[in-house]
Amino acid sequence: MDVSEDLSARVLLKHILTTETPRTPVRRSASKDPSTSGIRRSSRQKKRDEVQSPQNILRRSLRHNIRESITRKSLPQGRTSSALLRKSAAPSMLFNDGETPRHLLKNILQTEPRKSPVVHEKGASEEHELPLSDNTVTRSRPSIELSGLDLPDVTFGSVPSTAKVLTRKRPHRSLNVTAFEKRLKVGDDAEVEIESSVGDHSSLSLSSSTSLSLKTPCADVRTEKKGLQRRVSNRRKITQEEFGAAVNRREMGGVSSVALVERDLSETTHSEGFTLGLTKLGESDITGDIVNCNTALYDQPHAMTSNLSICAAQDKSTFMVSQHQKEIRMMDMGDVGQSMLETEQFMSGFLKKGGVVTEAQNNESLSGAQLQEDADEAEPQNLDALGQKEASAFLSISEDEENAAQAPLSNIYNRVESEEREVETEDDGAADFHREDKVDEEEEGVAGSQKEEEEDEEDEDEVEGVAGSQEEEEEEVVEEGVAGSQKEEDEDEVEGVAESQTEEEEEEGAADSQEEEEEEEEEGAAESQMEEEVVEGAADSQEEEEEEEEEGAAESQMEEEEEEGAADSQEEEEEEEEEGAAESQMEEEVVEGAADSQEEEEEEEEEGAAESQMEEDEVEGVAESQTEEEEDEDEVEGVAGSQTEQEVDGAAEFLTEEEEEPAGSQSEVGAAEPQWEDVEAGSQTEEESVLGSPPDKDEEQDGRAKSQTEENEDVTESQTEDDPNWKGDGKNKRPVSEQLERDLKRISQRAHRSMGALIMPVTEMGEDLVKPNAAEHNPEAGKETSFHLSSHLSGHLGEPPPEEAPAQDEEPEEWEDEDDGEESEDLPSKTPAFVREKRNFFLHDHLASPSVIKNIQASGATEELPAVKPKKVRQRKAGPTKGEQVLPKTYLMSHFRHFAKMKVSADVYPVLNETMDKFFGRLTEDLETYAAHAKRKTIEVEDVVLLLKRQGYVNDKVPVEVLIEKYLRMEQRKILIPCATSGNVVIPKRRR
Amino acid sequence: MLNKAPKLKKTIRANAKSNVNVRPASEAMIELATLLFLNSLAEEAKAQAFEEKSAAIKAHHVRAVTKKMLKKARG
Repeated sequence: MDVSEDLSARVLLKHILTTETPRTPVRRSASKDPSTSGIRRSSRQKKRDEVQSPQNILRRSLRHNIRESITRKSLPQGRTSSALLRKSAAPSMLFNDGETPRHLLKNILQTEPRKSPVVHEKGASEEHELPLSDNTVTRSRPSIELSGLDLPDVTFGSVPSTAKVLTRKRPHRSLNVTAFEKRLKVGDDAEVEIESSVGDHSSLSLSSSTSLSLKTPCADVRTEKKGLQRRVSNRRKITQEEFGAAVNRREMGGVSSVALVERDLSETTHSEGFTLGLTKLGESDITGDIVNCNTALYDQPHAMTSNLSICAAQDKSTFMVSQHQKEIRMMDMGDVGQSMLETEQFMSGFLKKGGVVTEAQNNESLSGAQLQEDADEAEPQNLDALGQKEASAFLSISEDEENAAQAPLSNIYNRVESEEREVETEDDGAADFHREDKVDEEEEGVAGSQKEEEEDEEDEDEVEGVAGSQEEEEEEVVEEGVAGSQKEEDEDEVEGVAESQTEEEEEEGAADSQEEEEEEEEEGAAESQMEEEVVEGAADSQEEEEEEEEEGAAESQMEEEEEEGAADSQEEEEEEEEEGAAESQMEEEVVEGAADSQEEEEEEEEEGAAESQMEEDEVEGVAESQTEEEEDEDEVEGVAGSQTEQEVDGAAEFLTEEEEEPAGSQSEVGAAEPQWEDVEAGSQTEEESVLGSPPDKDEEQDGRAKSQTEENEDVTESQTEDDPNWKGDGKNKRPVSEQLERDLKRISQRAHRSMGALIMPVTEMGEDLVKPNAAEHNPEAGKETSFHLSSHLSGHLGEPPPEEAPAQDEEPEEWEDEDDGEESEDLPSKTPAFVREKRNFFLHDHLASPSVIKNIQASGATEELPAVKPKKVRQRKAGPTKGEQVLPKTYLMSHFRHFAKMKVSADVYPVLNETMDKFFGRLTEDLETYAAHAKRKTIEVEDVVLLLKRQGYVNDKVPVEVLIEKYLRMEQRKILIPCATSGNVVIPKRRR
Repeated sequence: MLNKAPKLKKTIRANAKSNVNVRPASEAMIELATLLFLNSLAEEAKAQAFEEKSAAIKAHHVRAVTKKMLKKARG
């Protein structure tokens, strides 16, 4: 290699030889000592090319060499660079950069000598330099940066003399690397230096390209620095908008939050004890980090959270998943109308969070801390299963904490009553607080996971926003990146006073909680649950409830409660009450058939929209206040109250839903439906419960109610009037039948607690029984309050019609099915199918008298026709076929085209189909006649052969076998034409 | 291209006035009869289209031939 280089050098220019020879050994010895021989080869090859060929060859070789050197020299250069970097104590990121700069430096050095001779000899050096610079730029940013830095040095050396360049290059390299590192670290300083250096170099006579390259590296450096910081910055960027809003709001609530934080901490510590105080103190930063992480991970969090949520859901149960799905659906449903409110809530949440976020931003430098927080979050999820068990122990402590949290929530809710936004933020805060408690208490990790799941859902449904306004708010907070913890802290701070109040309230007892519940419907429900639990004295139930409450998401709580059992159902009911009447329906459903997640989901979806609407609309407050009053009474009694409320809410909801579904005129029907439900509810619910298909219950009831209403269309007018009355009655019923209901509920609840989901039917029965009672009471008293509630509910429910619409569709279908079943039942089973069909037709005609029924039946008949063929046959015989196909279109047309051997227009099919219908009618008639003539009931092959003979297809010249072999497939031929196989066995066996 | 005529037996049973059984072999034969009818119908429609100097078989061609072919298909 050396010899060749020498030869090439000799051939070319002595200057090149002189310059190259010294440089190569120097460079290699100095920088490339660790480098491998391959690198040397590459450099030598470059030299060879240069020497052998003129400037063009040099350019080529330079390009190739640079590429090769970059690829090959990376490893050895990395070593040297690593050493340099180590000296500079640069982070891991610098190593990569150092490697690249080294490569670049080497490349530059290699290229430079070439340039240098050119420069000395001719001005072509600039030309060479241009491609080099281009290559470097295109190849990689770091290389460019390095090259830019190195290039000036090289140029300096080249300009004065090759020997000096060689000597200088070594120190320059080291200096360059360090300078790069420093630049990377400092950034601005480095940029300034680079600029200065660039200017110097450019002045030194380097081409514009070099200056460009130098400039580019500066930008690259920045980008690299950004890249290093991107992880955090990107996360932050995601929340930029939120941050902006948050910053604006920081000013608003930041001050108050700061002052309140301390209070909260002290308060929380008092109430919760050491764990909370420590967690909050230590977690404040952590929470901030978590918040940051959440914000940063917005794009990614879905997967992460989803995974976590999945794990949690698995641990918890399928209910969680279904509920989450329901929630998502709910979110979707109510997103449109609620988007406005949601935006406001988000803003408020952002503002609150903003303060926290600012704090978190201050702590943003703690990206690692955030990661740790993430890990912590993941840990609680993992620990969910264990955490639940542990939770029992912690729950005693956490219960106090939860109570405190609930108290602030109640306070917050009170504030919400005053100010919706504030309320929303408070709700978020409460949820966050719950989350914080959960986070703090990894024991509650399950709850945290639930929250995370919710957050995930929220993230997914960020736009959805509002359905579970509280949940959404929580999610929004998380999304905002304020780590619910910070918000929670802020909220806690803000609510700190409220918390203290709540704590006091808790200390005071259930009475306070009841008052709070009355005042704060939503929060009140949670608190009432707690209080009720306390009153009940079921530590387990309390713990569960507390856990659920901690979870913050009413739905999650519902799910957990469902899983837990009757106690949970009570809590859920309470929570649902908080959420709204729609939720109460969900609770009822849960109570009725917790196992049936589908029903719950459906109801939840519908209810979710209603709930979100309710929450958003302060109207809920009124309804809740009414319900709360009832609840208060119920609370005294215990859980029964909540159930009654749920029942009432459920009835009202059903009514409202039904009304909404049909729309204006249908509202009357809807009113009628509830009545029918009340009348039939007992039997239907019982039947349903017996069937164990609770999901269908609502639909069935609705369908029956509708059918009844249809039948009794005359009554519909009065029914509308009855609806409010009925609703009011339902509410009124509660007090009247409260005792009975309570007893039933208590029994059912107890049974649920003990039995779990199995007892559901009992509760349903009780509710059913109560409902009829309520129906009875309806005429007696229709309270205006109930009207308001119903009107509010209806108004709110009116928003989510799309969900209800499908339900309506389903209902008529079910109704049709029921009708069909009834018809089938009516028909004697002995009659043949076609006779039945005939009768069905007549029956449909007769039944058609009612307009509604006519429509439904007509649709049903149309649907049935394709399924049942006998109808087709008769229709065919009776008249022209109605698009019914004996044979599929593809089969008919393909074979027809095949036989026609020419173009066949598509309009042939209807004619062909009609023809084939007639043909099959005659064919069947003939074959049946032949079989009957032979005193058989089975159509044999000989019958068909006879037919073919009579049709003229089979004659003396054309036996059947020929036709079979010509037109039929092999599998059919095997059946029809006997074939001798091994052993002289004929398959199929010849008859005769 | 669908090779097998689906639901042939079902169609026969539906068309039959009395309860009739159809053996698999006879089902194949019924398919053969159907194919033969289709073939003859296509041939006649093709001839009709040729008479009208039409490059493609159109609905009215088939309709014109249907009656004759159905009459021929009587057993």
